[in-house]
Amino acid sequence: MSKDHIPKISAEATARRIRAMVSEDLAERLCREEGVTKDDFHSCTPVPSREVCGVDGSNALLLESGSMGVTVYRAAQSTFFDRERVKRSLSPLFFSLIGPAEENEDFPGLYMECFGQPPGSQLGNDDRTRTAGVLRDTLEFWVTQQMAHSLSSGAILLRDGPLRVSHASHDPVLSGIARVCRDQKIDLVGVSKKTSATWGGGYPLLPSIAALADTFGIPAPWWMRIDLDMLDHTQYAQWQHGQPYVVCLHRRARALIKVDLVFGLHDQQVSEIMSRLAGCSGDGRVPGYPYPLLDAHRTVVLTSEIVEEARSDLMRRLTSSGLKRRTYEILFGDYHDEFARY
Amino acid sequence: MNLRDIDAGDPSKYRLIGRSVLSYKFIAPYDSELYIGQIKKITDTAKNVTFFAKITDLSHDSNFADSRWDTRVYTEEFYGLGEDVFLAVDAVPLGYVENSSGTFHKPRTIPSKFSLVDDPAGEDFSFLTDLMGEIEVGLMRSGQDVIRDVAVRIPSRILPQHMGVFATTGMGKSNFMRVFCASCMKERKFGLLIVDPHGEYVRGGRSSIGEPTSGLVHYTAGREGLSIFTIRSEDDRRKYGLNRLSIEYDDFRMGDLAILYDLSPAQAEIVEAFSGVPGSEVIGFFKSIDPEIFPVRDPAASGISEGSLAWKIRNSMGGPVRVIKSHIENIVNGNRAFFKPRGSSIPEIIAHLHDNRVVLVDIPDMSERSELFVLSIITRTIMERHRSDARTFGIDERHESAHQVLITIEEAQRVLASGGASTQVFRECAMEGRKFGVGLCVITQQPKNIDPRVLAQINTFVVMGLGDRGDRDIIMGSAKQDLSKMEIEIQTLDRGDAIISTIGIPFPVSTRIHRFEDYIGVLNRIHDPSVADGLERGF
Repeated sequence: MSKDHIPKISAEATARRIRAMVSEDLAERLCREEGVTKDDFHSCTPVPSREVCGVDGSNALLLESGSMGVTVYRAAQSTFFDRERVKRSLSPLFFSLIGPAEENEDFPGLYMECFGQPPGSQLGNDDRTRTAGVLRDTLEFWVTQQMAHSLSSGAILLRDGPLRVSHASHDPVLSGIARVCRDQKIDLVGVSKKTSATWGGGYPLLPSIAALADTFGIPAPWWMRIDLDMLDHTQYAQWQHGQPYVVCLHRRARALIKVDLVFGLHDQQVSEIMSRLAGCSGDGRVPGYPYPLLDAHRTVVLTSEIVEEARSDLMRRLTSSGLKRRTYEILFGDYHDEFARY
Repeated sequence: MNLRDIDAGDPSKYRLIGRSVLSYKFIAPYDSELYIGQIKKITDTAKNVTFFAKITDLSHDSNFADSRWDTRVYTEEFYGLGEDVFLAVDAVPLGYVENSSGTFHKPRTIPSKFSLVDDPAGEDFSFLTDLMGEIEVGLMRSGQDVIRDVAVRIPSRILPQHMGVFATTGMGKSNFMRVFCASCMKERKFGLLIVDPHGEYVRGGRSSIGEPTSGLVHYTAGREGLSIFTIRSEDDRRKYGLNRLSIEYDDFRMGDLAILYDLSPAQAEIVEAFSGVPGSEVIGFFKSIDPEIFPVRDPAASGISEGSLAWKIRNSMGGPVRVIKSHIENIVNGNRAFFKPRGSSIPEIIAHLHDNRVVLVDIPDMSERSELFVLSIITRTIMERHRSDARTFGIDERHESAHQVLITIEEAQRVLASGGASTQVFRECAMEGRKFGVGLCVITQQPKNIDPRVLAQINTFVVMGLGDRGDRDIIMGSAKQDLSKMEIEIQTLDRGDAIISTIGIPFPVSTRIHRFEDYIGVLNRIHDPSVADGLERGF
C-alpha cells in the first residue's frame, strides 16, 4: 500500500460514516419512526420584541504548562428594546489558575463572590477546558441572575446555551434564576447554536428537522416542540431545566437553533415568545439568530488583542514578582512556537 | 462585585486616528452630514495647539471582519449600526495655530493621538484674516457652508507674479472676474487691464446661463477706480463718462501680425525685416506697393534705393508680399473704428493703469482678431515702457511697487499654447514680466492647452469647476501648493465656488465667490472694507 493510500481510505471512510448519519431519507425516517407530522410545526409571525436581554460569557487559556494552566474569563449582557440597545454591561475580567491541585482553588472564592455562599460541590482541575468553561459559566449565571432581578416584567432573558447546568453547584443557581423569572413574569430562554441531541440511535436532530420542514414546505419562522422521549439521551439529564424546541426564526436563517424554555408552557405562550424572538432575529448580518445575544457575544468576546494584553499583563506581574525569564520559559514555553518558526 | 455599564456615549467617533503628518483620519457616525472640503478643527490639549484640516474623502466602513456584510442578498435590515458602522473621513492638514500666541504654522507636526475633532467657529479663523490680502473675492467655504467671518482676499503684492483663472463654461468665471475688478477698483493697489470684446464688463448683459448681469459701471461707489476706453458713440461716451479708444498707426508693429495670422516662413521673413519700423511707415508702404515687382532683380533699375522698405524685402517673392499687403489692409479696414493714422489712447491707458485703476478696453461687436490686436499692442507697449523704466531706474522694489500692472487674457490658450513662437509678447510677459511689475491674468477653460512653462510662472491659481481630468491634473501639478488631495473637491465644485491657491495665503482656500450684483450692492451702500456681514447669499 502506498503512503498516500492510507489517508485516502481513512478520509473516505469518515465521509461515508457522516453521510450515513445524515442520509437522504432522514425526513421520511423521522416521520415514519417518530410520528412527526406537519402539524407539529407551528408557524409564528415576527412581532416587536420589546425588552430582550442577552447574556453571554467568554473564556480563553492564557498560559499552559504540564501541571497548570491560566484561564481568563468574563461575562456580559446586552439589553434591547425592540431594535435599539438600551443598556450593555460587562463583568470584570477574571484570571484563574487551573492546577496543579486536584480541586480548583479559585472556584470557591468566585462562587462566594457571585452568589454569597460557598458552592455545594468542588470543581476538579482534571479537564482544563471543562474547568475553564465552568468558571466562565459561574460568571455567566451571576450576570443572568443580576438581569433577572433588574429586567422589567414581560421581558425575555436569553442565555447563550441550554437551560441546563454542567456542574452540580450551578443547579441551585439556575433553579433560583428560573424562580425569580417566574415571579417577575420574565421569560427565561436558552439558545443553543449547536446541540448534541440525536434521535433513532445517532441521527442528528437539527438536520433531520430541517429536512422535514423542507419536505413539508413550512415557511419560516416556525417552531417545533421536541418530545424528550424522542431523543437518544440527554447530557446531564438530572440538571435539565428546560423543554427543548427547534426553531427557524427567519426565512434566510443559515441554520436552525435549539431553544429551551421552562417546562409547562402552553402552545400559545410558546408562540408568543417565538414570535418575539423572530422579531429580534432579522438583522442582516446573522438572520435567524436573536440579535441581543449576538450583541452580548460581540461585547464579551475575548479577542486575540484582549488575550494578548492579558497575557502581557500577567507576564509583567510575574517578572516583577522575581520570576526569571528562564524559569518562565521552562514552565510555560512551548516548543511548538519554536517549531512554527521553521 | 458589580456589572460595569459600558458608556452609552461613543468616544470612538470624532477623534484623530490618522497616522501621518500629511494625512489625517477620523471616524464619524454613519449618518453624519459631512462634506468634501469641510474644514475641521483638531484640538490638541497636550500641546496646546489647534490644528485645522480639510475633508478630502468620505467612505463607508465598519468594524466587521466580514467585508461583504452589507452586500449579501438578505441584508434587509440591521439593528444597532451606530457603533460599528461609520463614515471613515480622510482629511488633509492645513496647519496649526499656537493657542498661546495665535501664530499659524504649516503642518510640520502631528496632533496627539485621539485629539478631539470638531467644527471650527468663525473666531477660530482670526489668524487667517490677518494673513489674507486686500483683493476680496468671496467668503471662505467649509463644505456646503460659508464661514461668514472669513472673507477671502488675494494679496495684491503677489498678483504681478501672474494669476490663472481656470473654469469651464458656466462655472462663474465672468462673475469672478467682475468681482475681482470691483475689488481692484475699490482697493486700487495695481492697474488692471481688460479687453472686453463683448461689452459684458461695462454694462453687463446676460451670463452664459442666460441670467441678466450688471457691469462695472454699476459699481458707482468705485467709479474713481475705473477707466473705460471705448469705441462706442459719442452719446454713450458722454452718458457713461467713457474715454474714446484710439490706436494710431505708429502703435502698430509688424510683429503684431504674427499673433493675428498664421504666417508662412516667407511671410515671417518679411515681418522680421520690418520689425523695428514704425507702423505708419509699414502701412503706408504696403498701401502703395505693387507686390508684382517682387522679387526685385535690379533695385537701382526699379528705383528702389538702398535702405528703403522695398529694398529690405527685395528678395521676397510676390506671393508673400501680396498676402502681407492683404493682412495689413484687413487690419486697417477691420479696426477702422479705433485704428487711425494719428492720435493714440495708449499713453493715457498706461497712465491710468499706473494710477492703479481698472482699465477696460471696450470694443463691442468687434472680432476676436481685433481683441487680440488691441491686446497685443497694449501689452507690448506696457512691456516696453516698463522695461525702459527698469533700464532707467534699475529693477528695485520701490519701482516694482510703484507701477504694477495686471493684464487679463481671456481664452488664453489662443496665445499661450505650447510651441507658439508667434505670440512672443505674451510669452515674454509671462516669463519675465514680474521683474518689471507686469503680470498676466490668464483665463482659460483648457489649462492643459497652456504651455506648462507659462503655468509654472503662475503663483495664484483660481480653480473653478473643471470637468476634464486632464485639465485638473495639469492644474494640480502646476500649483505652488499641493492640490493633489483636493481632486475630489475640485471635481465637485459648484457653480460660483473656487479653490484659491496662492503663495500669499498659507493653504488653498475653498471660496464661495461673491455674486457680483450682491457684492457691488453692498459696496455701493457702505464704504467699509469688510462686506462679509452684508452678504447673505453667495453666488
